Amino acid sequence: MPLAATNDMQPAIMTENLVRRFGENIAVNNLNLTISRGEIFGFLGPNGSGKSTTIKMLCGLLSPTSGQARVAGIDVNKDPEYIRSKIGYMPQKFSLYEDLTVTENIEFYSKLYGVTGHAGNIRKKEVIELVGVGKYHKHLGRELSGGWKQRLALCCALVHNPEIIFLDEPTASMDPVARRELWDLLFSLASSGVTLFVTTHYMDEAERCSSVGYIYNSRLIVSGGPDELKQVREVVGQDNQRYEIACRPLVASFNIIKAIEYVEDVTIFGQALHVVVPAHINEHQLRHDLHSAGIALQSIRPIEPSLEDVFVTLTKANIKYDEEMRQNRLSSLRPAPSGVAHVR
Amino acid sequence: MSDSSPQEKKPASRALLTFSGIYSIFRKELIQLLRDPFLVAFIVTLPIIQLVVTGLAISKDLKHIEMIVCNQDKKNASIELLKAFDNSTFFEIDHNNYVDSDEELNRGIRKGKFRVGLTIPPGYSEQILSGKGHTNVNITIDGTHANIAKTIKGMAIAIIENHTHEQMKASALGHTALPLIGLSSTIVQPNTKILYNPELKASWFLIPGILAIIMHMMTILFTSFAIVRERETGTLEQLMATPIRVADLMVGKVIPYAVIGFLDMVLTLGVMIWFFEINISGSFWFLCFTSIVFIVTSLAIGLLISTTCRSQVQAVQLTLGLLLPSLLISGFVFPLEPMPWFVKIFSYCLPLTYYLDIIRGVVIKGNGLSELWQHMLILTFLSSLLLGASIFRFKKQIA
Repeated sequence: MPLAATNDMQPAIMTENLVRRFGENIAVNNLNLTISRGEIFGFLGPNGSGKSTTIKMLCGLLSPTSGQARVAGIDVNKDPEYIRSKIGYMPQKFSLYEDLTVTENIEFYSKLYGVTGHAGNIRKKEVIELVGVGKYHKHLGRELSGGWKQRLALCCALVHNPEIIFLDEPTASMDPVARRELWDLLFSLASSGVTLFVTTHYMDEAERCSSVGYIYNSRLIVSGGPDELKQVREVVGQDNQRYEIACRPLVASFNIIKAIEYVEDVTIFGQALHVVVPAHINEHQLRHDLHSAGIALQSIRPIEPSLEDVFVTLTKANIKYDEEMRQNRLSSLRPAPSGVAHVR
Repeated sequence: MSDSSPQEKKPASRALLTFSGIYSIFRKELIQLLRDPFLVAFIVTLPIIQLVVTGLAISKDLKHIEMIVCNQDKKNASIELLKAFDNSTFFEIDHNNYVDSDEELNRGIRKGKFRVGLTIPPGYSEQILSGKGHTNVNITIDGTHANIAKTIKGMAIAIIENHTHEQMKASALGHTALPLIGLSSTIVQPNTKILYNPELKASWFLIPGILAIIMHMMTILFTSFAIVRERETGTLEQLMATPIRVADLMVGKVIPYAVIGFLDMVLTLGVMIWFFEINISGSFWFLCFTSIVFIVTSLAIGLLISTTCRSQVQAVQLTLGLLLPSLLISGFVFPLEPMPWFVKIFSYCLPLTYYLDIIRGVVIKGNGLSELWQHMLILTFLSSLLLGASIFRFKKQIA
């Protein structure tokens, strides 16, 4: 199906049944995504689930096996080189030249992107100021700390004023302060109309995104705003309730609760446990049963699922589904469990 | 064995070597080695191929030396002499392409097609038939390769002496159409003339060759790292996310090394001229021009290696694996003539083979474009082929 012609109202990224195979393996399976302009899209999933392959296809570095994708209104199958001039890409690993200075790296990339002349100089100054790498301009790439390396990489990815920036785990090697600062920077970019496509493993970062997609085993399981995702039927449903339980000792209690017959799921969250029980078990009964199981209860309260709960629940459902598929290939007509809250 | 308490964290044994330590490292090393298919292939095939190809190529005695003939006599006795040369496996005469003058003969040698020429003067047969005194034949030898020239000279003289001897014996026994002339009759006197390197100095041949090889090796190594280094450090991924064109990337990578390679070339030529006192007989500028083409071809080989390998270590292995045999079959030391045809196919695929001819031709023989234009054409073709292959390979990898 042909996609609509380019205009500003068009989504920044739109994919239709995007597939990438590597020989026998499917890296990305029927991906359908729509990301509006100015959004911060958090792309989550375990390692090897197809995140990097998706980014590479959207950046025009890898051609799709089938399906369509439009990035900044341009078809990736038709003009990948043109796409590259409209996007910025920041790989997970520091990928600038360690033996060039900050200024030389920025100069090099601005030339590659054709950012030259008077207007180019203004733009360079602007970006250097925005990212704040000016004070390190004489330092070699290898002399920078993890956080500053990422800022320099961001600076080089921004120098041509791209419409969309792809960031592959930008905060993976950062301390918490640098992480916070980078996110502040990303927010100010998004507010100026740039679309950000960010992969991350951190749930707190995912919570800050305006929309989130979760990919597992090459399938996009769910996508939507973080708040929408917490309402996904597979996770909350009508028939169960989630409680946060503080108790001591944590691990021993975890094992005891797991053994209780009606408990559907237990997870350790920091100093507390998240327990999922059927809706007909009320708080009073749960409290009672925990007491009789010998658990020293400190507090108990009903909670909404966190994003992590959403992903853990959906991943488990998908593992179960995959296993059933393997055991009985005839049931292949049944769709994989997935969230319904597709973005807008 | 360990009876030491948990507080003491000393190893039980203070021996210099422990079996378990050595064994665990040995095992890990072996597993890693076998898990690298490239290295396994390298270990297994390289020594075998090297030994077979180079063994076949260089263990042969010198033979099949093509000889250009200027037969001004054209009578029976001269044809008998040529038959004597034919009967030796050492020389090979193309009977369909005799030349008529010494100038043409010299031109054939100058072009490098022939290493040796034989001129039989008019009246040769009459002189033999007269059965008196002696007659001359002229042997003109290309002195570029001093050792081969010496062998050729010795061989040619031996064949002529032997032929004279046989002729005398045959005529004494009446086995020939020639009249009976007795044992003390006409002697064929070979006059040898060595061209280009009359003193037959081996250095004249070797130094330009070594120069070619050094340049070849250096320039291949320059670029064999070029792409693979960026792949290893990850900078290639970032680079490919920009609108840069693959051909721009490749050519941009080659140019700085071509300049460095050319400067190195000029430096080494200087050493050759002033330190080894070997003058360039031909045009210095022509040599520079041909060297640039050669350097670009070598750089393109390096680039192709770089797009093929996953790591810099592999690039070095592959470079050395390719260089060693090519040194032996390119005609650097061992002449191509006696090599079997399937080795020659490889020889004629190597840019080095052509460049060795070029640099020796220009330095020693004073060759120019009129003699070497075919070599130049082939080098240009090879360099564009290799560059094209690099770009193609690279594009295929990122797609």
